[in-house]
Order: sequence, then structure tokens, then C-alpha cells
Amino acid sequence: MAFVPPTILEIIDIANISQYLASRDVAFDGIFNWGSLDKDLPLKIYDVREAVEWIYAQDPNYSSLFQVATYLYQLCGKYSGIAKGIAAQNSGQVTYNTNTGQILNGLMPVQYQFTVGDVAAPLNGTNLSFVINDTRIVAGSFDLHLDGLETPESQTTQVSYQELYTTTTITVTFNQAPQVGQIIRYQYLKGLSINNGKQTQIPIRYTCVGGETTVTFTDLIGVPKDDILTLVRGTNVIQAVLGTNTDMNALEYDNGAAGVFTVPTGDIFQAGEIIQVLYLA
Amino acid sequence: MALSENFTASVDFATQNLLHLQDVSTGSDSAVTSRRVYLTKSDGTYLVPQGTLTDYIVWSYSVSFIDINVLDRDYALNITVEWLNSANVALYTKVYVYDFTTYSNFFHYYLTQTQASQPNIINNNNFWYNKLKLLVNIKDADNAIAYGSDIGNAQAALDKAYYLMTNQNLFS
Repeated sequence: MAFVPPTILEIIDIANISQYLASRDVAFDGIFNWGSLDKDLPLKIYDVREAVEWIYAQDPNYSSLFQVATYLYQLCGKYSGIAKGIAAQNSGQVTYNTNTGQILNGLMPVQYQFTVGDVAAPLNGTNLSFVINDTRIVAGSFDLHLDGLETPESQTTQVSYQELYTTTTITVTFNQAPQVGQIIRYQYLKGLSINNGKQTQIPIRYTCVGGETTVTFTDLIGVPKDDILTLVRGTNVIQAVLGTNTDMNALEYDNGAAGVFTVPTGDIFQAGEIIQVLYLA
Repeated sequence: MALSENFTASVDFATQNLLHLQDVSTGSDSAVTSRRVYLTKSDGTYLVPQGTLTDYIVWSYSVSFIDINVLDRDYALNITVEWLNSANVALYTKVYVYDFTTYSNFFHYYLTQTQASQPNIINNNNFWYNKLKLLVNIKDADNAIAYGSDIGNAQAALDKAYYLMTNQNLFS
């Protein structure tokens, strides 16, 4: 089953929250005069969201509405993932993992990308499958793009794949090996944790001066990896992983011992690069 | 039982030129035999359908709604409905102020649709700043009515939006 895109009403919710998140980032950016963000982004999101909301109220089936709403979703950019998590948590809905019946505290999308043949990539140009390890994976939510094109499932006449789910893994198997240099981008949904009374905290962030190999968030002391909802480096949502890490799309995390993230070897933080963490505590 | 007079006004998206009035009165009064509608603009003149020689529009009392073909653009209006007896004396009167922004809002959506298909157009300052002006004027009109019942300032804002709509070269 392919990734289910958000509905127009969900996009409107996501845009409302993204507008706030972008506005807060712009204010923060302005205080320190870094000027690295589009200061008009909150206004752009507001402007388009107003148009989408208005036409939706007039005619929810209006011909171009889905296209314009999709543009709004794209405009929310890196904020959409965080906003989706917040919207799901505050919705009051009970969400079940269709795979296990487990009650989840909302859903969030996870996106990931690698180039076949790269040192840390799970595919080397000859092998046919790779395994994604995560927690609370929602069965049926996986979707994959190869070189920017949506790749079909279970086809014999072209490159296709099949996926096998458990709650902690997705095993993706191709019918023919993707070639070295091809870019694989995939996404899936994971449930936010059953929080045991924990609440989503205001995202914390650090802007690198350049040259650091670690970043420490003392707020994360005592916060285990599973309570990290999203980790953003620059404009990419990446993974927090335990133990030695060589994956350029992940940061090693000390599982809350001191709240330290460590870069893979050779991938030092650049000046102005922003690390942002949304977490439960 | 006496009549508790009331009405609502709305515009349907698909028929932007038609002002729809719905009688939502409760109770009854056998003396009432007809209704009249006055649509007063911010300059004090009356808005009536083409060919109408009176300041008012007759609203048949046997039909609970009326669609009036008067909205050739967006207006802020003072809407007065009178419930009349057989001698055309007003027994009941209800007055509301409304702003109708369907044309402006649809033009704003049209611009957004253009933006969605040509995302780089937002880098054109004429497009971006004038689009924002349009949205601000729509909000100004809504706020003037919602917080001040002020059709003068509402119409002024709608006039600015109308100017942007009728001068689309300002967006290129």
C-alpha cells in the first residue's frame, strides 16, 4: 500500500501550525541577525492557506483545489513533519497501528534518502534488499521513489519492490538491483510513542558555529532515543541512532546519558547549520 | 402570535451575481402581506436590479427566499427588510450590514492557483506585494463590518481590491 497523502483539511491544520513554527524561527533568526531564513515564509504560508480555506468552504471538490493544497503542503517544507506530529497529538483521536492493534499517540511521517553504492548506503548495486529499523512502524504506509519516480510494487516488467513489515522493521526487496548512483528516497509512518504521561516539548535547537563534531542538549538528559520524535539537521529530517554510526543521514545519540549527538566521521557540522529536536519528556 | 422578524443574506460561490436572502422569521402575523428590500450602498444610493424604477425590491411574501441579481462586484451593504401590510405600511423592519467579498476572494484564489503552477512567480515583487494588498483589503472589509458595522470603510477596502482586480497588469 502506498503512502497516504494528507487530506486538504489536514493540510490546512498543518499549514496553521507550520505558519507558527516558521514565524517563531524567523523571530529567533532575526534576534541574532543570521538572516538565513526566508522571513516572508510565515506570510506566504498564511496567504496560501487563506485561499485554500476559502475555496474549501465554498466547494470542497473544486477542480484545482487539490493541486493548490499540495503546493501549500510543499510550502510548509521542513515544518510539515513536525506540524503533522503536533496536529495528530492534539486531535484527540485514538490511532491504532493497523499491524498490531497497538494504540499510538498520533502518527508522524519519516523520510529518508540514500544513494546506491555510497559507503553507508544499505544497497551496493548488487544486493536486492535492505532493512529499515525503527519503532512503531505503521504497516502499509511505506512508499518509495527511485531517481525521483514513484516505484511500483510487485511488477515483473519493470523495476519494482515488495515490502514486509514488522513493528520494528520494514524489509524492502527489489525484483532487480538498483544501480550504483541511483537515488532512493522513501517514507513511511511511525506512531508516536505511548507516552506514559509524557508530553511533546517545545522543539529545541542549536545553530552550529562550524567545526563541531558533537552537539549537546542538556534538556535531553534522561530522554531515550525512542522519545526523540524528529531530529532535523539543516533542512533534512534524519535519524538518531545508538552506537557507532557511519550513516551520513543519521547522528549518533547517547540515549539521553548527556544529551549528546555525534556526527559520523568526516561529516562535521557547518557554520549556520541548525540542529532541531522535537521530543517527549 | 406576533412575528419575530429576521432574515439572512448570503452569496453562493457558483452564482456570484445573486444576492440570496432567506426569511428566517418565527411566529406569524396575518396582517403582513408583502415584503420590501432596500440595499443601501455606502454612498447612500440604493442598489437595485437593472430596470428597477424604485429604490426597493419587492419580495413576494409567499416565497421564503429571494435571489436578487445585483452583485456585479463586491459591495458592503446596509440591508433593510420591511414586512408590510396591505396598505404598504411597514409593520416590522430588520436591518443588517454585510460585506460580500466573493469576487475578491475568488480573484485571490485565482492568483494562488497561478502561484501553485508557477511557484517562481512569488519572487516577482509586483505579484507578491499586490497579492498581499488584495488579501489585506479583503480582511479590512470583513473587520470593518464585524467590529464596526462600518460599510463606509468596508466599501473603501473593497474598492481598493476592485482596483487590483481590474488592473491585473499590476501583478506582472
